[in-house]
Amino acid sequence: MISRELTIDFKIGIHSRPAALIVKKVRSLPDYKIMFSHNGKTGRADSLISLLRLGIAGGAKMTVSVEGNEEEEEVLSQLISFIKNEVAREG
Amino acid sequence: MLSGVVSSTGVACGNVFFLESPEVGITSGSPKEFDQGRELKEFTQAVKTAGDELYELREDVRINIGVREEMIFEAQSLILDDPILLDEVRDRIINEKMLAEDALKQTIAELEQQFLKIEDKTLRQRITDVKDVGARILRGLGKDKTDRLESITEPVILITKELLPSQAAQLDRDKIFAIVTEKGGINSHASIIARSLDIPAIVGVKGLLKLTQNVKTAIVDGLSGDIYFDPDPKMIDKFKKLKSEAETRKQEEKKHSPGGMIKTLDGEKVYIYANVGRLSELNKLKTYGAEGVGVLRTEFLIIDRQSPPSCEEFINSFKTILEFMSPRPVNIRLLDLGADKTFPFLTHPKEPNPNLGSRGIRFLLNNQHLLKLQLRAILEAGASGNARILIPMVTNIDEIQKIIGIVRSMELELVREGKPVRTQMPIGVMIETPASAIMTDRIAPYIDFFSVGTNDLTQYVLAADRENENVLDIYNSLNPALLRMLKISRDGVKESGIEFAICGEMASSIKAIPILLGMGFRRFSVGVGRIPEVKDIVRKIEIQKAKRLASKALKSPNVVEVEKSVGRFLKKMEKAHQSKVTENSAKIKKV
Repeated sequence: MISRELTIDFKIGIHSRPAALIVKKVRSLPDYKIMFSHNGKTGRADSLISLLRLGIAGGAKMTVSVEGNEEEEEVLSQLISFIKNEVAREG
Repeated sequence: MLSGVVSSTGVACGNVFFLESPEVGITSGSPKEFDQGRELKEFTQAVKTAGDELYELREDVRINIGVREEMIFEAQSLILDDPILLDEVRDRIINEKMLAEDALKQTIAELEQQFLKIEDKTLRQRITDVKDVGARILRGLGKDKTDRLESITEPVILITKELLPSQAAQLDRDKIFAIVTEKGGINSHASIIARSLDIPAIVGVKGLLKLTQNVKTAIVDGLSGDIYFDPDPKMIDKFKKLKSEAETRKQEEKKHSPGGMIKTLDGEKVYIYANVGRLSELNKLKTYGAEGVGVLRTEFLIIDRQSPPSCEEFINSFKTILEFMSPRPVNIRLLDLGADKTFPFLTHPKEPNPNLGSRGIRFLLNNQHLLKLQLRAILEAGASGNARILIPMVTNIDEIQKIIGIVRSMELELVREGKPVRTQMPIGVMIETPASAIMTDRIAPYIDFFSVGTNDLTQYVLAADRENENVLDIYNSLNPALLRMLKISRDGVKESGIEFAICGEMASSIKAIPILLGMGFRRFSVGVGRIPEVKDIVRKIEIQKAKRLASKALKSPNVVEVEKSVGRFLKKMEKAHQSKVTENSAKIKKV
């Protein structure tokens, strides 16, 4: 398993719409166990409820972790760039 | 032995399964004992029903309200299959022996407690969506207790009072040998679905439920309309003979109708294509059978986007559809934007009359970046199947020439880049404006196929906005003015013999189909869900009679007269069909 910290630099944070985008993206990667952590809590990233429950506001720091048999690093980078670009654009 | 009316032919033998009709369930009202398997199944079914409802609601909101509002339902759909929600409810049913309702209620209550602790107010309020979804599932749990179709594991002969449309939609060919119902007609939704799935069905069997209470097995002779209960070995032998006969007959029929090709009563070939807007429609498309995708409405692929789509996104969607349909054609219609279809990431000009403004190909030619992005995606994905380009809202030939020029030079570019491209991709034109409809003979030399978009053509010929309720009585595709316009456009391509299809709501309208067939249309592109009905009616029509109807309709002074003629035509057609069915079963009984 590998993980990386990032700052959510879009204003509304992981709200419904950003969370929905992330959930859909994560569900397209069924071979990986992907988790988000924030403020000492951890939640699975394929669940909208779990992401919303983490309460990640704009400007907050959070950690993404990826667990899989291969190409963990690639998936992690891909996810982070997805959040920084596509999700941020709509956030 | 009991008898009824054959609504879908075929022969079957097997165990019977009684599907209680909903009204039976309500009166039974016995106190429920805990049955884990049943609770889990009911929960799964309720989630599925809620999903269908949400899907419909979402479509409805998208069309009638807007993309933004539709997103609420997108979030709700994601909650509906949220692993946390589903797992916690199932966990309570299994480990705490809770009824599905209670397990769900408790899970939602717990989630609410957790959400209350979130600092961010707007995030905290999202619990309303979770609660809304919970309420929807609960409704499903209360309502459809008696719907046990999901619980069928081994193939059975289904016996019920009446098969509801929602139940018919769940029918699974691998689990149902045959259907026998006490009520229902051969044109009910359930009968049509049964035919499209090739499941033998007998309807209108009087006294069915009363007389079969302790029955275990049955033979369904969906040729004569007879049903034999708890048959002895001798009967089973007879059945085997019947079955092999029926199978040869079906094989014979199948030979004549691969995919979307069917025949009218007098043997004229007709091709049914599908209109597709979402990838999720593909599975149904496979079951129902189509000759290809007549119109791929590409704007629906990006409808929930806030930001511009990327080339890769388009390529991925196109590849999925092309591979799925291959080798059958997929007509990829270029983005038909403007008028009622606007996107937040595009600047649409403010126009006093958007229907007569920058829409369809006009908009794309003014936004070449988007046009080229999409064309590139089509050309790159093109090698995955039989892709064809369809140009929307054409008025002038130079619009077509411009697109052809861009496409051909892009093809060369891609070849130079070393991409696997099929050059000379077929290009077709939507006939949606009166201008293009009366110019088909002149347009034909430039292109490979036509598709008439009847929704817009009706609106433009009759100068009546289909979204404007003040003129709804004027907007009618059976108006002889529109029929004449269609005839002119159809006649324009007679010489070149170029492929000429019809799409839009008219193409799946029961009243319009006989007239269109009579006018010479042989290719119909219809919504995926409409395919079974459309095939069903085409098979009952005789072209010679349809021709007479069409010439009468074209001479009619107004809509009323057209409707009268069609009404008489359809009545006679159904009568002839009924007596043919009765005659056939009588013949079989004699044998």
